[in-house]
Parts: sequence; C-alpha cells; structure tokens
Amino acid sequence: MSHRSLVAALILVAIVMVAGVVHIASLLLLPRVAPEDAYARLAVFAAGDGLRVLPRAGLPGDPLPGRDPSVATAVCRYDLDRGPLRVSAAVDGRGFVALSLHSRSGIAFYGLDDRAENDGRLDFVLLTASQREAAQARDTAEGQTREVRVVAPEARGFILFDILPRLGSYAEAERGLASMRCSVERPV
Amino acid sequence: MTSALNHESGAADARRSAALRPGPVASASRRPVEDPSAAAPDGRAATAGGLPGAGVLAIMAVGLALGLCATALVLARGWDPGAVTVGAWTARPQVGTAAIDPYARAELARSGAVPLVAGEGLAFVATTDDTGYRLLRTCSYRVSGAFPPARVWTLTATDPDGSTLANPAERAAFTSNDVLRDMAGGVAVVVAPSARPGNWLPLTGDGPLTLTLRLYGTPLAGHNGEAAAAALPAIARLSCTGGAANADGGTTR
Repeated sequence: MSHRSLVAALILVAIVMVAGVVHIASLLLLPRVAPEDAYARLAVFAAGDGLRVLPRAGLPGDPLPGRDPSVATAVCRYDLDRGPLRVSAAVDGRGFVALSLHSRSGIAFYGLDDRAENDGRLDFVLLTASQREAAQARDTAEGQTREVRVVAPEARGFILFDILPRLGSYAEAERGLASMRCSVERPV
Repeated sequence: MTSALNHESGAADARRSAALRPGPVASASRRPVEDPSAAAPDGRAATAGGLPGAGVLAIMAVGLALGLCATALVLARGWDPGAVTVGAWTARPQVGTAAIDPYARAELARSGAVPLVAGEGLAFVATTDDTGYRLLRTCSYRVSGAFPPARVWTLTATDPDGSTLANPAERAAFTSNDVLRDMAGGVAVVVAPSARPGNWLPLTGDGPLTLTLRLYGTPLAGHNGEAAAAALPAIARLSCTGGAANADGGTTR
C-alpha cells in the first residue's frame, strides 16, 4: 500500500469515527433538547395544575400526534419536587380504562389498566426515590399503609388517563374522565 | 466538503511523507517514480506544516456533517432495531417500556408522539398490503382474518403522520366493540374511498395510507416472541380508482 492510500485510509477511518461519535451523541442528546417533544407540547396545552381533557385525536387543538381517535384521554403533568402525587381513577365497567406514566425525557415507565382496580378505583401515589424512603420511614413509625407506591425515574413527567368506551359513546367516555384525579399529596 | 477532503488528503499525505523521510535524498531513493523531483514534496510538506489544525478541522467538519446526516436519515426512515414484523404489520414492543432503544426515543422526541405503554397495549402499523405494495388512499382493501387476543382492539386509517382522515361519515376507526361480525364471529373491514356494505372504513384524499391496529389489554404487549407469533388480519387489495394511483401503487413499495 502506498503512503498516499494509507493516509487516505487513515483519514477515512478518522472521519467515520468522528461521524459515529456525532451520530450517537446527537441521538442521545435529542430527547433532552427536542423543543417539540410530547412534554413540551403538553406544557403549552396544560399549563396549570390538575387534569386537562385532550381534544379528540385528529380534531384541531390536539397537542399530541398519532393518538387513537377511539380513546378519550386526559393529561396530568406533574413535578414531584412539589411533593408526591396522588393519582386516582374511577373504574365503572363501562369502558376500558388505562393509565400510562411518562417521564420528562420520553420514557414510558409504568402503565396499568382497570384490571388492577380495587373497590372500583385505581389508586396509587407517585413519588421520587427519596420521597419513597421518607414514606417508608413514616411507615415504620406509624404502622404499614396499604397505598400503592410507584417510583418515577425523573421528578417531572406526565400521566395519560385513557378511556375506550365499551358501552356508550365517546362523549360518555369523555365525561368519565371527569372522575379522574391527580393532586399533590403533601406539598413540600 | 469534497474539496476540503481532497486538500486534507494531499496535505496529510505530504505531512506523513515528511515525517517518514529524514530528507529529500531519502525521498528520492524511496519514491523515485512518484516523486521525481526532490524539491516538490518538501515544498508541499512545508505548506502543510503551516496548517496543522486545518486538516483536523476538516476531518471534524466532515465527520460532524456525516454524523448529523446519519441521525436525520435514520429518524426520517423510522428505523427501529427492536421492531417485530408479522406479515404487513410492524410492532415496536419495546417502545412502551423503559427498555426503549435510543433510536425510537429520539424519533419520539422529534415527532412529539406518545407510545402505548406496555401495561396498556401494543400497536401494529401497516403501510403496505400483504403483497408488499404501499397502501394508498385511492385504493380499496379488505382487512380480515384473525385478530390477536386483546380485551379491546381498534383499527384506524390515517395518513403517514398518524392524523385521521376527515370524512363525511365521521368514522376514523373500528373497534372490537362496534364492528359487525359474521355468523362465525369473524371480522372483515373494508377500507375504501366509496361506501361499502358492512364494516366500511372511509378513505378520503390521495397519497399514502397507514393502518394501525391497537390492541388494548393484550398479553402480547412487551414480549417480542409472542408478538412475532401473533396471527394478525390479512390486508388484501381489492381495487384502485384512477390509473395514476394504480401505477403509483404498482411502483412504490
């Protein structure tokens, strides 16, 4: 191999290595800097606290693309730095009810449907790892509690409440979303 | 970019030659054919030696551009190493779990879409019929056969971005609750621009079509192997309106 082709090969290898590093770095960075990801879209749509019902998929004003038009959805954005979040959803058997939890950076970390109901409700407390430790310390002091605890990987994120009507219409499912709750349990 | 690369190639070549050779005499003896004049390579080496950072900069610039192009290309094509394909249908079981791969995660961040969580369900997407031809909104299709085990399923017709197609019938989807079944309990949905008896999912406009089958409360969610083995409904093309659409459907896959 002549010097010229050797040098050309070395330069090519260097370029490929730089391109590879840039490719991987940009992929990993994108979920943290994307200006139009789901959380950013919902931050504009549901700026305040509590639950907001999303417009039906495909209708004007729907902040999230690619949703199922058969499913009525409400969103609750959370910031666990303000305290643990108590989440509660009524299950009345008139439709398929599911809750999905998503972190700020786009990881769907937990989901459950109405088969997990207890006394007609889906109830759990969402907290950070340190808040769970504090809660466990309280447990040992005050006796065990029966609440279901879910640990979030990041302090911020959002919960989607979905109802797919089995009997009745989409409008009824949308009304069913009114019985869903999400609120900061103990402000810190 | 190409000219910068050529320049860098020549400059680095000259630098390397200079480093390997103690002087012009050795150069002449080792490379008599390539470098008949001993003065020329020295002159090039001196010029290149004056720009040591430029070559590195050019390599970085080319690498940066290629790396970003690769990212943009992969995200635009929606490549997902964890995808499971069954017939014309593709599912991405890991997208709704914490084990989501970086490609799918970056794609979601770019599009703003929210995946179905594994605890809720699993979505299968089809952009071609069973013979591999692209689905078009000017054609008619029959979606029939087995539907995988799920408490509820929905079948939705959208454009490639996932937006439902506005239509006078105001029907964007069928669900397992409202679909009509035959005597044996079988399901057949006709996806077509013109009205059909039975389960008719209307199409409007032209351009590509995407069918999404969402399974809610399914044991398939989150498990690659089971999703791959699932029997899914067949997508058969019935007809296409308009010669142009037909020709397009025949050439694009």
